[in-house]
Amino acid sequence: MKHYELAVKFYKEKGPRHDQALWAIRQKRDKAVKEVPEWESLRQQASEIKDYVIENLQNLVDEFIKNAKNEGIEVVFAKDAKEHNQTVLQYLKEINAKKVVKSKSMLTEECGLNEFLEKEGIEVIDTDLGERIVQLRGEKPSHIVLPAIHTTKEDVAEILGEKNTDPTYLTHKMRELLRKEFLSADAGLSGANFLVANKGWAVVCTNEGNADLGAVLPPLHIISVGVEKLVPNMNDLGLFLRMLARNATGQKITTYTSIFGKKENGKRVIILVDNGRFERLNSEFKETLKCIRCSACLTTCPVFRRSGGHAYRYVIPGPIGSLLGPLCDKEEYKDLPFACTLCNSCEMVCPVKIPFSKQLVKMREYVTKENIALKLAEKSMHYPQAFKLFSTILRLTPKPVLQAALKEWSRYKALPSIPQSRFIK
Amino acid sequence: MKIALHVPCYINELNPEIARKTLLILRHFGLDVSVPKNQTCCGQPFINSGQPSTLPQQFNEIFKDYDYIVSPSSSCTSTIRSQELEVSKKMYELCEFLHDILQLKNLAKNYPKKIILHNSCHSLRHLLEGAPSELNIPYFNKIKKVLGDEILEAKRDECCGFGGVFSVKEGVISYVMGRSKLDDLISTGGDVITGVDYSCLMHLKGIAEKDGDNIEIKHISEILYEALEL
Amino acid sequence: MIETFIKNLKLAGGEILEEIPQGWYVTTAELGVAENGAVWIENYEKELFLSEKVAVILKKNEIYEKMTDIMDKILTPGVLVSGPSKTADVESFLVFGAHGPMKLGIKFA
Ligand code: SF4
Repeated sequence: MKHYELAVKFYKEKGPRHDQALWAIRQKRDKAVKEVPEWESLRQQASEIKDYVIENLQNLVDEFIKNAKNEGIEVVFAKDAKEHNQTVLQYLKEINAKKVVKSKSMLTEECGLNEFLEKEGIEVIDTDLGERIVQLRGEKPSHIVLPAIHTTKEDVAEILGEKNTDPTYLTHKMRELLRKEFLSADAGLSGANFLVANKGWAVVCTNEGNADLGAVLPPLHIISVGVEKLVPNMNDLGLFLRMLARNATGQKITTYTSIFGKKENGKRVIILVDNGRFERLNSEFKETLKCIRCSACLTTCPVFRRSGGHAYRYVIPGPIGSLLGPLCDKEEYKDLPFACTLCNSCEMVCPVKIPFSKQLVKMREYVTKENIALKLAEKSMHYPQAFKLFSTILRLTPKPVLQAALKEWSRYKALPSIPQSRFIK
Repeated sequence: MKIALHVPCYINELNPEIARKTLLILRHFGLDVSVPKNQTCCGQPFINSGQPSTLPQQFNEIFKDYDYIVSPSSSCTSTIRSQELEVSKKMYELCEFLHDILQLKNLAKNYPKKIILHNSCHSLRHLLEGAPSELNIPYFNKIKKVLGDEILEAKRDECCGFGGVFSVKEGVISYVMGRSKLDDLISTGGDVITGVDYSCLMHLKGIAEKDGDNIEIKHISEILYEALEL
Repeated sequence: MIETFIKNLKLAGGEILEEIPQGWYVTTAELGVAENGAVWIENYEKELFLSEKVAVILKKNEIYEKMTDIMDKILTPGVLVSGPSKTADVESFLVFGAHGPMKLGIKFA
């Protein structure tokens, strides 16, 4: 099913509540952002840092690997999802791991790691409460920061087999269940929000503390991270930390910002994943690599708020997903850049200033097969005479025919009436 | 100062009065305004459908002899401006022109009805004719300035759901967005909804008509035309 | 600046401790950040996350205004903590004690 159908289904069930919940977060975000007078100049700086990063990606990767190794972290470079998954498996097999606790990582979703490990007989427990909710529901996250934003407290009570729908009760119930998993897991997996090139450190931002429990309790901690998450140095990191949580949820900073170097009493591995990123550097969509996954473009998107994230089908939904999805599978996700009104709200909130309106229009072109009719229409519009002909046909077409041709419009909206004369005759 | 009136193709077809009134407004301020006859379409419907178009480049030719091109549409203006053509810098949306170049304000202060302004996305988030709520910049709104301080605005400055091809590809979501926009606009207690993009207004009008809302919807040029008693 | 720190600590769900109550896990922070109420803790121990209640000792003169003011003072890995662990994953209701501590208090040295 395409975005259109899934959106309608979702909207009827949950749309208005979903819209309200996300709009409330958008407003919190606005408030948090407006507390920082230099916000717009921070966006400019952040954008420039990321431009630098994508222009110097290979150098930064090399620098990071050197420094991380010096720190005592093992670093593996994986060229694609398959290599990434194999690497994770190999490390898990070394210690004969049966159960792993995982904290949020969009990259492992991109690589389909859960399914892969489960086929290999390894149990994967998602520990971010939102991700755990969707995992138990047999779903995928519908939002990259708020994975279960599409669910209600009743949904959560149902999967836990509880009658009590009080959010505090349910949250603490999940905490209790997951604490046991943390204490018995063989390894912790996580993503990373940033990699600091000149230090060789990985930075993980969470509110729940799940990434830290996964990093500190089991003897092995594997961090899977896309190469674009590099930042040159600590000062740059500081700038992004000022922006990330404010833009994501309206918090001033996440509860935990953990900087990982060598692991005490155990092993830490960082898997640096390419999976098409280096290739994208040479494409007209290279600016998508600037994304820090703050999720603000999802939350603000008026279509996303009504359609829900699952309508996008790709692991990363919303405006940024509408660029990343088709880059991953052009045919499957060709509807996504059209699930958009080009309202440009995403561009306005993006902390790294990805030029969404231009990129989305380019993406529409990228996914559109040659359309002879459209091409001819475009050509003919260069001639006022052809335009006049079109206009005459329009006026001669009976209204029912027009209504049928524009049925998506006419189902809910009256068609404008067409006046007899034109201004430029 | 030689001014050209840009007549958006959809306005020429669906509401030519807007073009006529825009022309009269500009002439009312003593400007030398012409209407180049060979204009057709800015290419926006094609570009936004994924079909590359060289129509914007034609603007360089059609409008080369003018100091300013004034358009009663922010979406066409933004299409031309984003192409970075020679003419791009000369192209202005009507209110933007009245505000930036003629520096006029409070033109609708004697208008008998309460006006509600729908800030369309192309006006607000592409041309920055006002401060979108996403940005941390001081509040301003050029259209409101031009009309007068009494103008009402919606609570959420979000998209109305038109979006060109979107409105025919995703009819339902387009409708629900339009519906909540209309509710928001109507709840301001004003009498007439206006805006600089007739395309959004047509979408809102279509919904209002089908759902039986009792609200007037008029393009900004129609409001100014009446307010200036032309 | 200290007022701002306290205000933001409280917004993040943390509290100021006059005395350290019995049974709390006690640790020390090297730095504090006023603009977000966070403290930088080098001593990365599992108790910081496993304990129900955490008390952090901080010197007032180690509080800086902005996040960017402390970056060059971070010399080893560690963790920046702002309030107790929290989540809003159940229908957007804010709940403290998601996986980590239910309470986090700062005791000025
Ligand atoms: S594209 Fe920009 S706004 Fe969207 S998630 Fe990435 S950084 Fe955030």
